[in-house]
Amino acid sequence: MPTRYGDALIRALVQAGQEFDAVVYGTEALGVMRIEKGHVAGNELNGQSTALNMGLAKMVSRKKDAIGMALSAREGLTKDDGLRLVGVKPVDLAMPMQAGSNFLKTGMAATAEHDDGWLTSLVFSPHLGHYIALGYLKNGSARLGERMRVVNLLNKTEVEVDIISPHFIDPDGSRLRV
Amino acid sequence: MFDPITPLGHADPQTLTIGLFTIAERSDTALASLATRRGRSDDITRAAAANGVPLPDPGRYASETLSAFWLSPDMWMVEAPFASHEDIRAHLLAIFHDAASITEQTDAWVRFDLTAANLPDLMERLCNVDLRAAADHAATRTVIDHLGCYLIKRSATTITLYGPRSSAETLLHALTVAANSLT
Repeated sequence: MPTRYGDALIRALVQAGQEFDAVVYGTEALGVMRIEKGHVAGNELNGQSTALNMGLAKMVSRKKDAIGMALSAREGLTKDDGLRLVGVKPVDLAMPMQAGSNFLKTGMAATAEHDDGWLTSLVFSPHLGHYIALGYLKNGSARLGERMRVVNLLNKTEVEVDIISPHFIDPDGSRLRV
Repeated sequence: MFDPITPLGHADPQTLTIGLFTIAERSDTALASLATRRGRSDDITRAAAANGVPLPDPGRYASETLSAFWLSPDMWMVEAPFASHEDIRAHLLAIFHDAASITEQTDAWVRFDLTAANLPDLMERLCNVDLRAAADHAATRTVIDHLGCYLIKRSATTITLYGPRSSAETLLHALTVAANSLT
């Protein structure tokens, strides 16, 4: 499709899709939806992260060899207090969180030494009506339900949050299997 | 069924007059790049000559049945009327067959034709092309407002700029700001 007809094409597609309730969506919407589903993407795939960090360790068979298998078994990448993907929501749902904030335990001084991990991806979720975030938290999968603070050490902002599952929407996938 | 839009987003090309400068958007030109495949120079030269496709020297534009300007060694951009050559690649393939790599470029570019008696005054504010010294039918790549463009001097008073289509308004903005500074 030559570019000059692109505008007309998308208008025709939108019109033709009306009877099917079709909607157009772009990469921003995709970004919101993948965070709502807890899917990792660029911010989580940072070159240091492993399947274990991302909560995908069960997808890697230990019975077979694979590229990266030896490395993934190294002590530094398998320790219990390693970073694990978690979901984050503010305690006061009206509060916005700030991208790039660090996890701090309640009561700890707001300094970089007390950092327990960081927010990787942050969006306003239109489905939930408040901000949600993914983050890497030390020993995160054992800390679901913990109340913490996300602190932006540069902007000096601080929000009280609950650590929850990264699967914000439809965790059992039933909406995908209608 | 589908109504085309121009690079500036309208149904019809826009023409601006700023003082003595006329800036005319053109959407009636089909473009394709033509690159000689290895060892096929003679085939290209022969087919081009037989079909009125000029293969100008470096830095040059030429016009026969179709027109073309030089892009790089063994590579040219071919211009043709859009009305008759909307599928310009098919036309050129029928001439050059497998002796060339031909890529349609029509809607990758916005074409502005600029007309004025003092175009060098304008262009010396926009890019590094010495339009005063350039001969008619000079053609070169240059950069205007960080946008890679091709500039063709069609005559002393008319040049064509090809810039990236998706930055058409940005390029036009650069042209109008410079033109306004001269009025």
